[in-house]
This record gives sequence, structure tokens and C-alpha cells, in this order.
Amino acid sequence: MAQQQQVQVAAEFKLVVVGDGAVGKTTFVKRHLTGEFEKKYLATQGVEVSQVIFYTTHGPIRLVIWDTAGQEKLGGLREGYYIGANCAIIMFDVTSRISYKNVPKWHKDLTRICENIPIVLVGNKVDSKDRKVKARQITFHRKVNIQYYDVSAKSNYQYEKPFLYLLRRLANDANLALVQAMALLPPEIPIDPEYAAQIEKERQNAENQPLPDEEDDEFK
Amino acid sequence: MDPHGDDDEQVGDDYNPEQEVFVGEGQATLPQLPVQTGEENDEEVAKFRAKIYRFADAQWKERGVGDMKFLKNKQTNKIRLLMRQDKTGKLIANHFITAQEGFCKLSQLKTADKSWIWTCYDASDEQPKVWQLCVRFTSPEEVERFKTEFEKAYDSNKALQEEVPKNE
Repeated sequence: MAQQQQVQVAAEFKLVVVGDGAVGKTTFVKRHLTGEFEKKYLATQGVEVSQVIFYTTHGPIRLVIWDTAGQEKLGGLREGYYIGANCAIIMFDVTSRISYKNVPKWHKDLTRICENIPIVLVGNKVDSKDRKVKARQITFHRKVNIQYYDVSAKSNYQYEKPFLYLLRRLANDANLALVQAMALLPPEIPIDPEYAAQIEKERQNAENQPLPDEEDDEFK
Repeated sequence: MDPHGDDDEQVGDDYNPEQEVFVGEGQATLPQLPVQTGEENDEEVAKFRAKIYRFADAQWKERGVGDMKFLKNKQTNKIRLLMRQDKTGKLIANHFITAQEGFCKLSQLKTADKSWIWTCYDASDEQPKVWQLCVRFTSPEEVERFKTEFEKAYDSNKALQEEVPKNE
């Protein structure tokens, strides 16, 4: 039944995501992976590796994302995960001053292993009314000449920007842009009556489950 | 790199922390390539602004927001449903509206209005899989228009399917 449509990529790069615990690294990565917004906090242990393909003017580019544990006690191999990284995201939470204060530490650890890779600093949760780290306080990145973006994994505000920036740097072309993904004709599968009955049962269950809470006019 | 220095630094009122710092120089390391959407042989039948969800781990999960299109293939006349996510252009739905038992029959969610659910074999991920999808619209008119277009596509694909044995 598995008819994998392997995408021919133009390039593949390793991206590490670092930053304090609970700033939203895993949620941000998941948003890009499946579209979902995970509200539950489950601390990452060690590292979680996943792959996301970005379709660009320079072909499809596969990013192998190493989403690392922010909590010190769950750090696993820590800097060991940085080895071979081609680019990095350092994330903090704009509602947590301490997570911003720790950015230089993350940057130092990262650049000790990966000397000259493109890095983007990301301030997450900017949708929050409780923002503590204001725009004019975010200056660390200028001292080390890296890019900064406000983002919100919840509202999707600028959620593509950190990736777009890294892809431009990796392709060494400031004109790189994201484009429509190649949509091949989808395959079909035969369904036997037994499987059809199973599907029907699943549908009846799904029918009774709520949608994640949403506002009505957000996508007009 | 003084970690406590951030608040001390003097920045002007027009300070923009997001100012681009592109430091690359010289030639691009990856060449520019022509863009292929995969829709070159398709004709657009209908288009909607929508938000879709997938049923996974016993719950509805957001998949994305974007333009949902019904596309008719110019060679086979078969209609598929295609949707890409805003901003990233990533596929979030790509399947034929097939007339198969258990597949592509619309029903309403008991927990929310302005939405439809159905089952299909979706290939928007690298690995195609049977999924239950849910689409949500912002107006009752769109909810109705979607139903009309979806069922029209279903019937049209069903008619094509029934034609095939005669030709063989």
C-alpha cells in the first residue's frame, strides 16, 4: 500500500534548534511538520529529529531538524547534537526575561562547536499580552551579527521567516523565495468492504470530537 | 558578550531588531531552478479560502490555512482536491475525490458548524495515507458551495470510473 513519492531535493542541511526549556521549540517545529499547534507541554528529552522540505526558487531543500532539550537535566548529549550542523535557531520566549538572558550562553555553546554557520535568533510567543522582552531590549544578536525575528507559533506570525532567512544564507542568495510545492497526481488505493466498515466506525468517532479552539475570521 | 548588557545599550526610537543582516557575498551556492507546481495539466474548477484539520491520535489537529482548489486533469478529466499552506506553499491536502465505499462522503461534525468531514487517501505528506479530513469555512454560503462542488466532483469521477470497463 505504501507508494512513497520520494521528493528529489536540491540539497539537504542539518538545523539545530536550541534555547531554554518551554520557550516553544518543539511546538514551533511541529507547526511546520504537521500544521498542528500543540498546547500541552512535554519537555523534550535529549533530541528529537525530524525532516521538513521547503520548496524554494532554488529547488526543494530538506532540513533535518534537531530539536534539542532546553531543560538542563534532560540535555542528553548536549553539544554532541550540534556536530555537523549547517545552521541553527536560538529561541527564547518574549514573556520570559530569563530565557532571553540565557541567549548568550546558548550562542556561546553553539559557536564553540559550529564556528561559522548561519544562526537566527527567534523571540517566540509575541501573540501574548504579557510580553516582557520588548523590541528595544533585543540587541544581543547585533553584537554577534546574527538575524532576529519576532514569531508566534500560536498565531503563525512570521513563522516562516527564520527558515526563509536560513535557506537564503545556505543557498547564499538573498533573492531565494518560498514557492508552491510540487503537487504530483495523488495515488489511489483499493478498499475492501471490511476496511470500508472500519473507516465508517472511525468517521463516526471523529464526528463527535471537537476542533481545537479557533476564532472564526482568522483566515478570510 | 555581557549577558547583562542588553538593557543598558542605547538604541534609538526607530530601532528595529529585525533589520536584515545578510552577510553572504559572491555567487549563489545553489542555482535557481524553474518552479513546477504539478498543476500544469490541470484546470481549476473551484477555489475556496479554508482551514483544514486532520484526525490523528483520536483528536482533530490543525493542518493549515490556505486556498483549497478543485482541479480537473486535462487528460483524464479526473478531479482532485488540492490545498497549499499560506506563506510556505507546502501541500496540506492532495487527493482524488474517489467514488469508493467509505471514501469521500461528506458528513457534518457534531461539535462545530460551518464544517465538513470525509475520509480519503491523501498524498500531501511524502507518505500517502488514509486520513479523515475536516474543512472549516467562515460563511454558511461557502459551506454550501463546497458541498455542491465536492459532490459534483464525486459524481463526475464516478461516471468516469464506470466508463472505463466499456472501453476495455
